[in-house]
Amino acid sequence: MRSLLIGQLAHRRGRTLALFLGILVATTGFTLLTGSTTTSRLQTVGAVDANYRAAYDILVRPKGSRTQLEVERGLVRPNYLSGLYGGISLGQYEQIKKITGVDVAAPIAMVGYTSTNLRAAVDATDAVDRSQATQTVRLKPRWTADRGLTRLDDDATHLAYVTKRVIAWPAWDASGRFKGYDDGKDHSAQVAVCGPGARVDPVEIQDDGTGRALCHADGAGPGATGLDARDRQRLVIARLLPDGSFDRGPTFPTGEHRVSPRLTVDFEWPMSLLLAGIDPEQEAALVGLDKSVVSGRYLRGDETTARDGFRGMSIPVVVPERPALDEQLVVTTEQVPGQGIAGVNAQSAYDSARSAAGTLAGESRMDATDVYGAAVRDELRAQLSVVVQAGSPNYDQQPDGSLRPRDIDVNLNAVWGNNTVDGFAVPWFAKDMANRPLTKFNPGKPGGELLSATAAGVFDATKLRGFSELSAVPLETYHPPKAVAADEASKRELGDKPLVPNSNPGGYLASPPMMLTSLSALPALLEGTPQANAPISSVRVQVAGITGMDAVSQERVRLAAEQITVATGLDVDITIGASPAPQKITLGAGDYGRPELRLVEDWSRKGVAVSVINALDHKSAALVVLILVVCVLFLFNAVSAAVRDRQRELATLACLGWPPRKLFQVLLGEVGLIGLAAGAAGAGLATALSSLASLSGPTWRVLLAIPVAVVLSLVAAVVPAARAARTNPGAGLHAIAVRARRTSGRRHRTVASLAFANLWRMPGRTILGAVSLAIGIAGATALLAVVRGFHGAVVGTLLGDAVSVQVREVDLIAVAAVLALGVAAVADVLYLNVRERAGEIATLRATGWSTAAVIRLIAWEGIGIGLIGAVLGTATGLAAIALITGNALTAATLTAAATGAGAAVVAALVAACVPAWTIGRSPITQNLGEE
Amino acid sequence: MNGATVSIDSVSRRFTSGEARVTAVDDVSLVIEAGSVVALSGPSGSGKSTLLHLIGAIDRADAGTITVDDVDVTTLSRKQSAAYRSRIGFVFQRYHLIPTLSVLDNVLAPVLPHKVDFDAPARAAELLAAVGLEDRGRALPSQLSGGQQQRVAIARALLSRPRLLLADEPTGNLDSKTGKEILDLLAALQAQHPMTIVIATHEQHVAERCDRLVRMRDGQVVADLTVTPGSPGLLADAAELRS
Repeated sequence: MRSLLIGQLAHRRGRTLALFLGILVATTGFTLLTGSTTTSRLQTVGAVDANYRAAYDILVRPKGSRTQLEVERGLVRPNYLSGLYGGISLGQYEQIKKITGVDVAAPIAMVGYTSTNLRAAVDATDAVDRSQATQTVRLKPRWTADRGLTRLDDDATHLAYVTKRVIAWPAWDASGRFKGYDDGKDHSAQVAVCGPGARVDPVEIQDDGTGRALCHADGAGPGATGLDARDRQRLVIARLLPDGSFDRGPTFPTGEHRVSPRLTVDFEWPMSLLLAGIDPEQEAALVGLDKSVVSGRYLRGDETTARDGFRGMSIPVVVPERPALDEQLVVTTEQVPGQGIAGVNAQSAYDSARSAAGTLAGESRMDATDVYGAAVRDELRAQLSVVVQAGSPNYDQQPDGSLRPRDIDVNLNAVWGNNTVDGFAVPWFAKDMANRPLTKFNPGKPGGELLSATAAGVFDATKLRGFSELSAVPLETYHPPKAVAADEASKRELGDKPLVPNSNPGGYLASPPMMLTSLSALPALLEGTPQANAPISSVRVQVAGITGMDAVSQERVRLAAEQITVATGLDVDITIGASPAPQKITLGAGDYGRPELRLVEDWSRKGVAVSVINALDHKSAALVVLILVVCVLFLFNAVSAAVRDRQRELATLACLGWPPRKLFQVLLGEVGLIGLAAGAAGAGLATALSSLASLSGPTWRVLLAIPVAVVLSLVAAVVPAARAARTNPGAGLHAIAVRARRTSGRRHRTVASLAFANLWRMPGRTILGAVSLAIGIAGATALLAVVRGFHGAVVGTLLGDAVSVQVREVDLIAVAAVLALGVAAVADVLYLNVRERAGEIATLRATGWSTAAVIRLIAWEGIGIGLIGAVLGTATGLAAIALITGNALTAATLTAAATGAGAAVVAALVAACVPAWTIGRSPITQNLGEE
Repeated sequence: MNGATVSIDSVSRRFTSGEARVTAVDDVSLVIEAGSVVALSGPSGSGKSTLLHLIGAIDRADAGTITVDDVDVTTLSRKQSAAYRSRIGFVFQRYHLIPTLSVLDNVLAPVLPHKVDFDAPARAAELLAAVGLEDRGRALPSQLSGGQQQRVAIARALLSRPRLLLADEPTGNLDSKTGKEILDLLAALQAQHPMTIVIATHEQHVAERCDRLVRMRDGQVVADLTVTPGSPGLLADAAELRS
């Protein structure tokens, strides 16, 4: 029996080779693709039952940025951006943008706190005694915050010296050089009292004609930190004119005198502003930031540093119309009699003026909102020489479950204590107790030009999308954080108002970003810092097609989140369905009067928790199984044909006394042997291809090819072999004729109709070829529809459950393999057809049919199978899409179906080429003889 | 129109089967006059069918030339061969009808790939009537007897109004009575439409109905006789065929 078996395989080399190749392709494809059916899946736990939706659906943060507390409690902390200075690279951001289903991906790159000096003009007019020839008005500032609980008395007393005497004012030429006094006299001897280099102070002309210097001791000179009161003390000099107005001297460069009916004294108001980079286009898409600009202009995507006159280089920013800060300046105005400063060294004058008894003249109160508002209407500019970065607070859990942020002693001198602040003072409240660690960096190149940020536009945060009631989840980038009193005592202290941030960068409540620039401008700031390589702190993602809180929308979000996780490895949180989750906070007492407060702060409870698991991609697995199915169909047809071909021989053996069981074994043994050889070759080929494509996998997976090939062969062969073994020996000895079926007496007027009639002669074989093709076409149609119509991923419901189908590269390879096997199956069907009808075709050729006409006949038969495959395949593909989405009749899916149908016909035509070419060139006489 | 003249000049055809080389037609020269009915006779393997195939351009000679009227059949391209075959008629021993096509469509099969010939269906019907099958046009070949199938094959061969009809053992699969009817039919058709008929046969009664008998053996022409009933050559040929 062995010799018969091997002899058959050797004798029928063509058929053996066809079987071998079919099994080889299927098992190699199966082995290679099996390893790709397992993929990372983002598992969601929990159900969305809260009807909240932020402006975005997914929050992407750097790997490991989720705090332990967040993980434990399933929460996202408010101010989730604080402490997040980069961690996401631009490359990862681009990956996120390209992910299927991601409609908007808006990055935020937190840079840190910059500072600006606002000017608060305090009106001291009413404190002026107009009867006095000279007088000093003392202005004592106090800064308050935290609903007035934090009170910080500033030693930087400001003085206003008002005189009725003539003042000789220093004058400058157009280039800013001192050119003498405006009375034309030399007062250098008088101003010498002010100290070295102070030769340009104004000089009061006394009644006797002599001059006395009015020594300025203004502000921060080189080396000033702003932490010392002397750095901030101011002396305002004004001449009270006969008409009651105040002359503040000439202005540069025009030389015109500032004359005003009111005497105002400017106080510097250092304010911390959190600077962040955004993608202007994406931010506009996410929250409509561009539409909320109320003055100036919006950012462009290509913003970068630009020269800002003599002030160095500047980057454009957009700023909110109102700051989310609770800060006030309260100035007490006093008349200090007899305190002349003329001809006195400035510091001596200050020291005596500060300590002298005074008469209270009034009190002015100014709010940060007003001062900031005035600044943005004029020009808001912030220094970028020192940027302070505040970290996240650490909490101690109290016995009652509340959280107590740990106090941190910040070494202010270490953060601000050098000379690089360019005249910008330290925010007052930076002196208060901190809950966040502070670090700093100096943007730009060492020794490079000064950098600053200048407001190019002002936006109204209330006009941003996502500020509706339903979006009041504290996840919004622009949402000012707040905490309300948790007990009666705190309620009383806060005056029943919420606690909001002040400009202490280390304070517990941190303000949202108040200066936004374009990502494109950041390289100039972050150059040389660790953040330069991964500047983005978080990406807020809006998913396409979210219609509400329904299951399909949730699955869309889950799918997008999964893809982001797989593609980037970053932490993702699904924010859809997140709801406010109040947390009790115990805020320790501040250094400047704020008592310990018990507060409630809104954190966000995630609607669903996410975890990444390894899971089987059922769709990929199904596609891989389809490879085997098509292979079985292909083998079934091939083995059936081989059995038909050998019917006479098998009948002879039966006549010689072989029992059916033995015949069955011979046939099965032959195919099994081919399967074994193809499996071994498949294992070798899979190993080679794996190493070429750098795929790794266990050895058993490669060896799996052998049993798979054998089982595949035997499964395909069992039915034809059993049928052949049962053949009547007598009948089998007669020649096999291809059946003719009556086609209802229809006339065949064309080659095409004859071709279709030929297909009908072997309907089982035709259907087998068409189904083999249809399986591939169904897969291709469905995948194409998903790629074209749903951007690579479709989400819908199946049997009431939300499901998602995402097209991966491995799926395309699997479908290509299924299609290739389908084409091979069609080619085999056509080949067998023409082989069995070789005599007929030879007759036609003998009667004058040209080779081209014969090829046309076979091509039409291919087209016939292709059309059946197209109808079956596209219908199945569309049905699969309809099953998930509920609607497959969209332009994109119909286009995919048309493409699939076209592909089926073309594939069948391709499959027809070899048999048509073969039969068209075979000798007529030989084929006539075979009839 | 008296049919085509066939000139065969030093034609040879060899086949290779494994290591064996067989010369099926060996340097045969022959002229067949227009309008004649010629029988190629000889035992199996004598080369008569091969010579018929060479004349009909369904096989190609290795040497020599075959001219049908002015057409050198041995130098035709594939396309020209097909066109040539569509102008001659061929009748096979085993009829070679297309089982899926009706009788009428089988007759029309030669013109199926070509542009619509409005005359063809009518002519096919005429031919079916001429062969006595006018009422079987819609039947399938499997529903006909062997003699009827051969009549259909003859009708198919005559569709193109050929000037040359080649018949390879046209009665070989038929009983003697039916075979005679087929020969009668061919004679009648030849009388209506004069044409040259070449019949390969090993049957004496067929050869007797021809004008001329060309006897072949081992690929060579061994006798070329004008047939008259009872002529010695014909009798000798019949004896050889019987042996």
